[in-house]
Amino acid sequence: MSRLYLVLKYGAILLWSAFVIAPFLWALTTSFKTINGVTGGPTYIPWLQYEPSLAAWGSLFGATGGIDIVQPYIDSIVVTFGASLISIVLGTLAAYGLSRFTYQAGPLRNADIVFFFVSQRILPPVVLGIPFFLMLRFLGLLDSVLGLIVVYIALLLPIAVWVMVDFFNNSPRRRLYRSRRWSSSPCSSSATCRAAPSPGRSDDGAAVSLIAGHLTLEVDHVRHLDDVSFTLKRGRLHTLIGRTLAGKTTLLRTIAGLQRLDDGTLDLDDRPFHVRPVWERDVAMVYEEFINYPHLTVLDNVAFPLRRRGVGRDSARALARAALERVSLAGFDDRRPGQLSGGQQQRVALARALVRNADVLLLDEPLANLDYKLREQMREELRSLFSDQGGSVVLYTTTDPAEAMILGDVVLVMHEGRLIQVGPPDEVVDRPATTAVAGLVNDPPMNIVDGAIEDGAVRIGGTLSLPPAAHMRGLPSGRYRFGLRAMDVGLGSEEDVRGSVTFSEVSGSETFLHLETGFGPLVLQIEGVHSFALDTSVPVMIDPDRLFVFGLDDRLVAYPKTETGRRWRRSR
Amino acid sequence: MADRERQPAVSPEFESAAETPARRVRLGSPAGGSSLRRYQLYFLLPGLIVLLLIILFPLLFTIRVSFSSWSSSAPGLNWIAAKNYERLLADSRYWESLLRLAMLAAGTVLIEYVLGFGLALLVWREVKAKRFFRVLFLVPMMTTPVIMTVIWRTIFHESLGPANEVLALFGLPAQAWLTSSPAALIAVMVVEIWQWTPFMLLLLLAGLLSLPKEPFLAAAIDGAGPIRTFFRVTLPLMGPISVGAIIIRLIEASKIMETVYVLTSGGPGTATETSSFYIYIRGLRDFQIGYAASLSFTYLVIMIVSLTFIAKALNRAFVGRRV
Repeated sequence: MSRLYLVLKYGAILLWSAFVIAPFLWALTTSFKTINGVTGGPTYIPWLQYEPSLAAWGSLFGATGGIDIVQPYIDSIVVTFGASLISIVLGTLAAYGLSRFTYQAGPLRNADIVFFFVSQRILPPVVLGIPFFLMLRFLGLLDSVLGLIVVYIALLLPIAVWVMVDFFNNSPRRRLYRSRRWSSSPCSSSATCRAAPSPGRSDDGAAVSLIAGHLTLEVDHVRHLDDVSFTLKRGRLHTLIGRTLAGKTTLLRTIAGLQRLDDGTLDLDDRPFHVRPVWERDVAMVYEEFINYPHLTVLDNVAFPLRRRGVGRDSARALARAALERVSLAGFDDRRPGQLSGGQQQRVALARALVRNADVLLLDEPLANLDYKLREQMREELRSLFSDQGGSVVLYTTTDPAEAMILGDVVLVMHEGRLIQVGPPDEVVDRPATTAVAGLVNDPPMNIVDGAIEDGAVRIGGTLSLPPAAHMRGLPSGRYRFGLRAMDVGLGSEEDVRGSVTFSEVSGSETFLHLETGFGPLVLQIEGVHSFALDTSVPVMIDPDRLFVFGLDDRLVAYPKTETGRRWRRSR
Repeated sequence: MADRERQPAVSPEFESAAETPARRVRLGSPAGGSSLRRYQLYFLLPGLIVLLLIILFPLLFTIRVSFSSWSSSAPGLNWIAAKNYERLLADSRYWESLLRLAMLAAGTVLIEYVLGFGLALLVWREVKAKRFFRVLFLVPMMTTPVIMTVIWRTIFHESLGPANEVLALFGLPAQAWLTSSPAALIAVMVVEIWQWTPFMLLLLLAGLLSLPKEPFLAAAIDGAGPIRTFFRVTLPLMGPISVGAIIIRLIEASKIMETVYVLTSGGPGTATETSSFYIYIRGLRDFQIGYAASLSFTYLVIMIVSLTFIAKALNRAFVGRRV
């Protein structure tokens, strides 16, 4: 900060301060002048040019038989309070109605009525002045306090309605809705509902709970959700894997009720779910960004959703403490979220979602913003956390295949707004329905190369010819696309195909080797740490027993008999 | 077959999804019923009736009166068709007052915006006695305009007021503040600016304080100095708030009445006469109520139309353009 800058800054502030104060000072000094003093010329400091006198103040307080100043004050108070009181009562009533009910008068809806109220503020008073003058004269209220009250109601009522509508729209409605929340259901609380047998049950005994049918959403001619249908069951952990912009977050927002739908239905335990507004859905959500209330302590953050649902202060805090313990954050009760590390902040958000024991628990890439080590650690913890969340439908989105496979009982694969495969992790990995799935559930993505089966041989890229494997038997000759997982490609000693190194990276104890071959780019995953110079030519060994075969429409037609998917289960 | 292909591949265990009955309930239908709903009309009606009685009825009454020759000598609702409006079109004093109002409102609001923004920036960040100055700067807004204007009238007094003394300090000639043509307009503007810059400051400071901090951190790291930061980060971020503040002030400034009434009574001549004041003179001083009603109705229509266009233009200028 330069000296000049400071001088200018405080100079400006002081100059404006002087301008603001000047009229008050002038009024004050003038009040100490006598009539002679006033006509004596402009002076700002008494005692210099005239004798200060209290004559004006004396007549104000009646010492020298002056004017009555009490009555105007009383009138002011009567007018102000009367008009405010009436405006607030009428405005609050109208605002409550406008925020809670739907009015319809011809083409006019609630918003139009609110606008009608507020638009009165634009009217210049003079436009109303003449009719008011005539009206008040007609009623004999001219020059009366009552007349003034009427005028002030006209000025204040629009503001009262405006402010109160805003207030009601933003205030929680739990009192109103709690009472009638499950009124259509025989059970009094959601807890007992869960214990009661559900009408829809599938073969494996888990209650059928959240069913989505044909969810569709289009924004600006772009399909964000394209006819998405699925069934999520209570007590199971579902992972939703897809790239960024695949529609994962949109889907979660739809389930939570934060997003309107063009078409489709959601049913929770055979009751329509999508017609309920967001505050009536028992949905907890954890966002990718660590979203907490910065002004509340960690404990109050976690207790917040319970308090909003009418749980008493002490029991809410006790439950919140238990939830914090579950996410290993015991002892941080009185900190603010801002004082915690990223991982801890996300744990707070997680505890806030878990503590509610909500019907539906949504997690939108909760680990995406955490560092690598923390992500692995929390992934393990989540597994055990969710196993206690028996009554909830859990849906967890991620872009990381490992996360989806390790955590999920069921994996849903999403691509460009569509659900392209649903199944248990090993099935999704070992039998990817399309090349898109194969690309999404493998890390690095599965290598896809064009080729053909002809004359009893597998031909890839015109240069490579391999004997067909057992699982390809019965496939008609023709062109196919072959999928090869990075870990199934090895460095060979034979000379049948060579590739030149374009890039090589070490990840943990494995090396990813990117090659350019005669039939396109290929990624290899090699055990151990190796270093390769760029443009080195290396031999590649392709095992036909490991080839996935896709049709030209990208659908899976044959797959190798593998148990690779099981390896994701090692941590269970 | 195209439809089939869009179905997700589902393993047998999870087939139930495909069998979901395509029950398409209308979306967005209200959920549940409230026992209060029966009485919903009683919530809205009292306020609405009062509004209709004291605003809509007077407004419609004004329109009706504007087609009559109601005056102090001949009170009553007769029908003289559009005679008042013909007279209004030829009334140069009215159109001049509208033009004067437009210039006065635009000028004061522009100066208020610049000053208010400047002051808001000054007391936004690290300043000694920040709270004190923030409160002090808001004081004029809380005072009663009429009373403050009376004080300002003594300040602008030609021989007794301090305004001319301040001019003398800088060696400038004394002005007949309230009785000469351009000076009187400036006096009105000074009072308006003194009274309402705090309001602008309040809105803009609230806006500045609610801005996210991240863009400023990013700008600092990206090497933007204070001036570039202001024009490329602060000002664009403040766009929507600026539009709101300017429009609110324009609406209020277009109603300017008591300042003119107390300070100059529209004088000298008609040099500071604004539309509201002219309508007041015609209606409640000359008691040409029919004519004044036509004036005020025309005024209302012009106000609504021009404010709508100004709002649109401001929105385009401030919000539509992105860096």
